[in-house]
Amino acid sequence: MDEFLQTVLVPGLADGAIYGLVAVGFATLFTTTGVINFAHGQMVMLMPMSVLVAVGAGLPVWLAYVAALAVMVVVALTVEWTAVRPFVQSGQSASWLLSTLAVSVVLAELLAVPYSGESRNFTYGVSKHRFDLAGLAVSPAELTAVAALFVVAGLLVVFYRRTRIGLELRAIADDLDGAEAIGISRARASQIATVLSALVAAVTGVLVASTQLVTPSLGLSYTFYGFVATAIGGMGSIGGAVAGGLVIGVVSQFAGVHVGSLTVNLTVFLLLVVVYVVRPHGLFGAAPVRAV
Amino acid sequence: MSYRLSALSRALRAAAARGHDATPAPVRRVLARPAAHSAALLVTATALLALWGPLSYNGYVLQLVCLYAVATLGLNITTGYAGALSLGQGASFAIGAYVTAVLVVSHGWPIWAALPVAALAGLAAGALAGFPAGRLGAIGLAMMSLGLMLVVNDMLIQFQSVTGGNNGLAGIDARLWFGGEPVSTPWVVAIVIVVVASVSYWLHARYRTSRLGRATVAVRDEPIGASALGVSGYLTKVVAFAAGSALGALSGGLFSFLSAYISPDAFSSNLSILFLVMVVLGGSGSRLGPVVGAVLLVLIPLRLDAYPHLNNLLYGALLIVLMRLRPRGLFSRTAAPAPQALRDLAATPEVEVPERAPGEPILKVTDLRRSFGGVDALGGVSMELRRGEIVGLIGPNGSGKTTLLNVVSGHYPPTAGRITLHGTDLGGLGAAAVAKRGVSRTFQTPKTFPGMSIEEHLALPAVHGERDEAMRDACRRGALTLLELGGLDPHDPAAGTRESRVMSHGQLRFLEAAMALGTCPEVLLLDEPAAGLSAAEIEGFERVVSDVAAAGVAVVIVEHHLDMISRLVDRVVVLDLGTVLWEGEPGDLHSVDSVRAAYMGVA
Amino acid sequence: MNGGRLKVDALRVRYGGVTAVEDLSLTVEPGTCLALLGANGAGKTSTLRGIGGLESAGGGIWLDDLRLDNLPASRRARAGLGHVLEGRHVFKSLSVAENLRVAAARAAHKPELDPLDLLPELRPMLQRLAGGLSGGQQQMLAIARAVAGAPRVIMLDEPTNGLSPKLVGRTIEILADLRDAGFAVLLVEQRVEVAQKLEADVVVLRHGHVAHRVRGTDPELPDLLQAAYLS
Repeated sequence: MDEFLQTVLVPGLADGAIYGLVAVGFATLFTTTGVINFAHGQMVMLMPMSVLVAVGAGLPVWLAYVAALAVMVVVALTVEWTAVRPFVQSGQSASWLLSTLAVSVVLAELLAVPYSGESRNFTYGVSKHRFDLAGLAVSPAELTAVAALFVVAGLLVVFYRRTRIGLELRAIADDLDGAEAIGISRARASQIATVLSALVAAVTGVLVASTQLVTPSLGLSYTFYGFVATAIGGMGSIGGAVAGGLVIGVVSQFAGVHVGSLTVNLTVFLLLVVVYVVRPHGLFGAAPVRAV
Repeated sequence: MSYRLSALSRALRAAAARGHDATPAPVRRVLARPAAHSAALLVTATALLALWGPLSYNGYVLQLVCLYAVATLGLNITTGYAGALSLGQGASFAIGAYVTAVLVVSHGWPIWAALPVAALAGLAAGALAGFPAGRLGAIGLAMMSLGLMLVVNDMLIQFQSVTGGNNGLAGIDARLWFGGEPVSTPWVVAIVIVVVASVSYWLHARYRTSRLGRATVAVRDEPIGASALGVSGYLTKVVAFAAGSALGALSGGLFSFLSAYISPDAFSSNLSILFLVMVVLGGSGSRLGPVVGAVLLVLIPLRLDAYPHLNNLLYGALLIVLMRLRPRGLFSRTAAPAPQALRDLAATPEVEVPERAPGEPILKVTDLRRSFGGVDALGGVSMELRRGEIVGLIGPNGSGKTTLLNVVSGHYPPTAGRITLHGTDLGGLGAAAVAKRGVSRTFQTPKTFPGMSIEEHLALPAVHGERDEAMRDACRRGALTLLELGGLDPHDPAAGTRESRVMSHGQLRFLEAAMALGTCPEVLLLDEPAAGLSAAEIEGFERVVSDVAAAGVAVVIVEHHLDMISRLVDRVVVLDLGTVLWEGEPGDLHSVDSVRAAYMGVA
Repeated sequence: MNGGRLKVDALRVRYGGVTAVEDLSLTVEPGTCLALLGANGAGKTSTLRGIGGLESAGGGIWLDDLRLDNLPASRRARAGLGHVLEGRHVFKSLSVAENLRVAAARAAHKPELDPLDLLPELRPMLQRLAGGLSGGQQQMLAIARAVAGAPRVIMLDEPTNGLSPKLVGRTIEILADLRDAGFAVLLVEQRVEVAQKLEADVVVLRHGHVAHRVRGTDPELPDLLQAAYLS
């Protein structure tokens, strides 16, 4: 049992928290714009990579973080302009799918430029040195990941419920025509949602880099894992994203430890197939009403 | 930029049209055949191969183009024809490459046996993925295929004893017999690649012109409209997945022979994206486009090999620009020929129109209810429809007219109540099943198929079940008249090429109604057919409806043009707030106060 | 002062190749009501959507001296053009109170008419989700939401559609209150009754063109309308 806690549950929840954060990032953009950003995984990688490059250029760490955040926002706004806004709530999924996929290819390649695509150690995040907590060896990075998932999700829920802008984003998500008719701008809502999603990606990126090496080529995998978490939790649901992320974190860790590290993707893939066969709208999502 | 592109394509199209007009008709027909393209491809590629030799750099590039074209053509079946965006073509490619390599290296199989087995493996993998994926929307499909690709990459390393793990497999040579010596000449592989590419082109074009291919494209363009014609979507997607994946695997097998050594590095996720960009750049769903996409995206990157990173940046940037400026790719025409349907229709004899005389009841609706989120759109509607009768269904907006049609046609399941056709229950059947039993319909906004030509639209509907000759002819005659009314002359050669995306709203309305008659329905449901039509067009439309009703088709017509209703129908049913408010002869309509009050608010 | 003058000059709305509205001009003065009547497909909804900026349209649109036609829909709304859409379009996953709050937050100033004074029947359901309301309640909410945005002109698209006779009567009362509070009211209706009771100016549309301009009190209106329906 202790063995299970130590080798599966602790690292599984920590990984799961990261997948959950990716899924929360998807949900943030999707609820408002109806677009899933295939480049979100690359956005996650962009944050630590920008910090590394900025530190490498001689900036102090705090300034490197500021610069990296600025990069995230600028890239997010560019992505929004090229690949999101033309397709806001349009239902033309093929168009935004290809557009954001294209952005993903470009970002992945740009990420491979600084260190020729090699993995890098990231020492400017949260410590990954484990200490003893009630008989379990855990690292601050792992604890922070889980905490960050709940804090980010909680903050977003409060933001959507309590703030004026949050309310406007929900209004746009509910009814685009109705929202425009009371003066909410779709372009601005789409920009806000994209930047918000990029900020979630920034937090995710720092945590990813704190628990493992920064590997530019992993972006698409994170997109996939985050999407499976979304599929389990239901499209657009923040609570579902949290639950879905933690579930696949633990299940994939279990498979990795007990079956073999190369079966992790397979396990997550099978999880996706099972969810689609059993409950195509996710565990928490509602089936859409068919429209003729 | 966009202006220049369009000017260029206009000039090209004009030149093509001039060439088209100058060619005699029989030659044109031969040139339009997929076999002709296929043969041209074979001859050109073989000639170039003979010129350069298969071992030269140019010869190698030519073979690479040909084998990539095979995978791209396969992906065009999945993504272009079926509209299912797949990021998994690289996975099929890898499966085919490894199946071939293992059969050849470990078991000494000959090239002619290894390649079909590779294709079969791809077919099986595609079908396996397609069964769950066929039910998904575009997003789920894309993600599932992305996952498949990640998994296949892992598996290549996982099953080291078979695949050689990260070291890969070497010595993939062409043999002519099981366990035989590898052939020494590079011509065997080269010829096989060229022949497979040209045969693949032919198969992929034939797929499009087949009944299945047409149904596949119809489901892609307008699934609801397709279901109203009795075409159901799921299987078309699964088959497209399997077929596309088979060609992808075949292409991978050819790749194994060409490079003689494979390792997992060669099958990164970028490969899948590359295939997708080839299809989208060339023109997703067009027949020639994918080949052009493959040629361009093999040749251009080779020129850029000296600059690292530039290739992938180029793919990405190209895709972004494409989606903004020319989302349908270089070759944006996707219609395929289906001349038989037009010929049949044009050959329909004149028919004698009998006197209209409603016969026995055929469709019966009993206490039909349908609610949406607690609101009753239909609150218990009962009505009967007789053979050869025309019933007008009117009522204010939101009174439940369209909902009634949607429930009867199977597009919404009823919440309660019964619908019977000739005494058999229709309740709970899907739209395609209802259509196959002889209930046909049109929609408020015409549901036609933007990527299909006029003749293809007319080739879609099929007659299910027994109909007498007179009724069949009357329906055909009616369809023909509708087309003429819409200015869609079936004798005009443009009918074979003109896609419905460029047609006007009124023309689409006539085309849709002609398709509905193409199934020779027993019950025809028309949802506001006159909206947006001119007085003369409405009059023509009325005549057609009246004629087919005289031949025995029972018609329900939802309409706001009350004058049309009063001229055309035998009986009027007025709906208000989801229930039948009044029912009777059209002549009495204006004298009923409750109807005036509900319908026009005239107290 | 609540109201402003809406002036529309030579409006043209097209979808694809089809012209829905052609050369439509109208003016709505503060404190008056103008009703667009006509059969389905006559271009009534397209007119409102064109004015509101939800559909691209040609022609000039002014709110007092402010030119609206080159602004996006959201800017027109903030400039004081209220629009109660056909089919209500309330925010279903927001509560009634949130629906009103989100509209008020975008308003240029505090509305002089409190939507809950106009529609006190909404008070008991402020905390309920809009998606759970009945069709009639959603219609009331849609009107209240438009008022919360502090408009000067209010356009309403078939507000009585699908309502029971009692609620139709209540809607007419509300429209009269809006008019009397000084708003310029532009109304699209299928029921003549509404225009008659409001004593509105009536524009009868047919196939996207103006067929008649009459007073709602004109005794010939029902006959004119019947003729227009029967074209």
